[in-house]
Amino acid sequence: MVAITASGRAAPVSTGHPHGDEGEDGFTELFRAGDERALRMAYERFGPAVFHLALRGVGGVADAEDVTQATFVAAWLGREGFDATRGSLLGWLLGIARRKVVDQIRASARDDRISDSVRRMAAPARDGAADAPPDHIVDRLVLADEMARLPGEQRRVLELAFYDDLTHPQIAALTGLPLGTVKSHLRRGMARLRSRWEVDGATSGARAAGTPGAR
Amino acid sequence: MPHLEPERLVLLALGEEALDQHETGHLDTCDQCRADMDSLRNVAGLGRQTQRLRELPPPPEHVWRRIRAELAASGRGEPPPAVGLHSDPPPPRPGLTGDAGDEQADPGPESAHRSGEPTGPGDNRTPPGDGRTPAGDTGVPEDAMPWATPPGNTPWIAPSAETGWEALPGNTAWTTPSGATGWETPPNDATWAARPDDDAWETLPGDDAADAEDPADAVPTARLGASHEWDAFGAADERDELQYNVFQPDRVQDRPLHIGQVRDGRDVDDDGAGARRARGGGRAARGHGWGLTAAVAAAAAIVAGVAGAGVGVRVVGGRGSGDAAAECRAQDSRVRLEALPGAPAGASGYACVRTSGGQRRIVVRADGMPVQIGADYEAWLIDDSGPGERVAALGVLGAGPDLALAAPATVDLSQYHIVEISVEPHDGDAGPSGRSMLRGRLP
Repeated sequence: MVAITASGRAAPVSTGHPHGDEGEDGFTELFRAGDERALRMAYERFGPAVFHLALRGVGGVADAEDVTQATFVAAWLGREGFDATRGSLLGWLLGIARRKVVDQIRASARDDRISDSVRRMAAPARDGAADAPPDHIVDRLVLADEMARLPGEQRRVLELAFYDDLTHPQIAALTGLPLGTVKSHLRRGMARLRSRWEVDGATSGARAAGTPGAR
Repeated sequence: MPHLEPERLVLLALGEEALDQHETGHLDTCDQCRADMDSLRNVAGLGRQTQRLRELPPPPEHVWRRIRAELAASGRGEPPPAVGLHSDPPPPRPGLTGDAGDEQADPGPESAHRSGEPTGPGDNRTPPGDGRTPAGDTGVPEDAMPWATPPGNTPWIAPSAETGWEALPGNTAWTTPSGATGWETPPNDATWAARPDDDAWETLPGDDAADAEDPADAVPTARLGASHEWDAFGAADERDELQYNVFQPDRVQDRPLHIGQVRDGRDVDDDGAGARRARGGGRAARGHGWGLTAAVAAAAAIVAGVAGAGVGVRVVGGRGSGDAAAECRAQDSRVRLEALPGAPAGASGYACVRTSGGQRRIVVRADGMPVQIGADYEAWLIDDSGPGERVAALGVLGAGPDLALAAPATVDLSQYHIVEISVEPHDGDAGPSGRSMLRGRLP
């Protein structure tokens, strides 16, 4: 049974993840074990990112809502295919969402062709352009999530470097942190982001292949 | 030359410093350092683009309802039984359910997840036009709603996944929510509403008899379609607490809904449901009134359930209870209502649970909320303990800032932890709009 598997895996799930904090609130395990409270938690926590990806990938809000719906339904029905040792739940969800975006675009293209033939209008340029949303959207979403998980001071330092374009001496001056601490935060924070990106980013091999049954 | 130091690599990747000649030479020959450098540069570039992704808006709440419905329909996503989420499920109540026949069949724990929802893939789009109904925004196959047909003339109260409850009054012709067209005919077209009345509880002798005897003033009694959804609540037992009655519409206009008080003591009657109806007119306003009615009817249902046989509920009204009841006292622990993304700047609020005379009331206060045109602020109680949210309407706060709302706790507060205030446009949809402004979690 899934539940047995999941409970037996609970420890490996945590340690297997590169950052080990994915399951800090326990819901990754609950999710895999089929506890629907976890689905709601996943929806609240990652629904915004999935919806954002969908909005960027398809034309309109209605389509994006459909993609979001299809993503969570597929994720739930295929939850046994989620392997926390291979990536985070968010990365997995975004992988599903990308494919749902492709499905949606193809369906729209089909509809367009049908209506176009009826109306005898030119086929839309979109035909055949059923590409996944650009990888960098997934990458950014994953990194934004990882940023949010960083320890507060580390996050603050990275924010100042990223968003305010401050150098490490400027950050040290602004925050009052010793220069060495700032550099250490930058190094560790960047290492975490990088490792998350390599695991969960759109171009990671595991992501592309790792979701059987979740279509 | 040795490999570049990790900190040095990071600073270079961030563009803070420039490569010197030696480092350039090393990178040309060291695959490892070059790969690290490329990777970190990518991460730095992407990281700089994450700022706007920190506070992404959530998908509309109806997407969640559709997910839940699709999973329920698929048969593979059955939620845990609702009754199992409660600590003390009540026994069946044959006195209330005995003569109801097939329609009364317990819809089962999963019913809340089926009602008012599409039942399969491909049926997920919001139908065109004003297809929104109190029960949801998509089609409702009747067989998914075991309670869809009221037995005879009996007043009827049915649970709904969206609004929490819907009142389906007896003695009136009504139409089932039919697919995309929604409520074609609201029950008793002039709309039910609740209003406060003078005094005292009124106990009716039986389920149907009272209605038959005096339909104009009858208090609908409840049939509990899924009484376990509401298995625990503090029954109102004091005159000066807000209690509810459901009245026929001929009395509505002059005695509009009274569900809360303005904080400074002004009655919201003047700006309550009656006024909204008058302002909005037509379908939209009626829809809103219906939502409030649903909440009120839910109260009636629960009272009836607790008392066993049919029980009338009479509104005692907020008049006697005054401001004080709508304030959090020092001993009531307050929870802050946090502004959600999309909330106006400076919006804030708090809520507390007051217990007096054995009745629990929720006091909700919101500040810094701009006046809405064509919309109201409505407070909701949300149970997020299960896989799907259950929502119960608390009431409308009114049109301006600095309003407080006192409502009796008609739901099990051990389940309904979240208080939310949303903007509810007068669009005929009695369910939550999803445009939530403030949210807090009760202890």
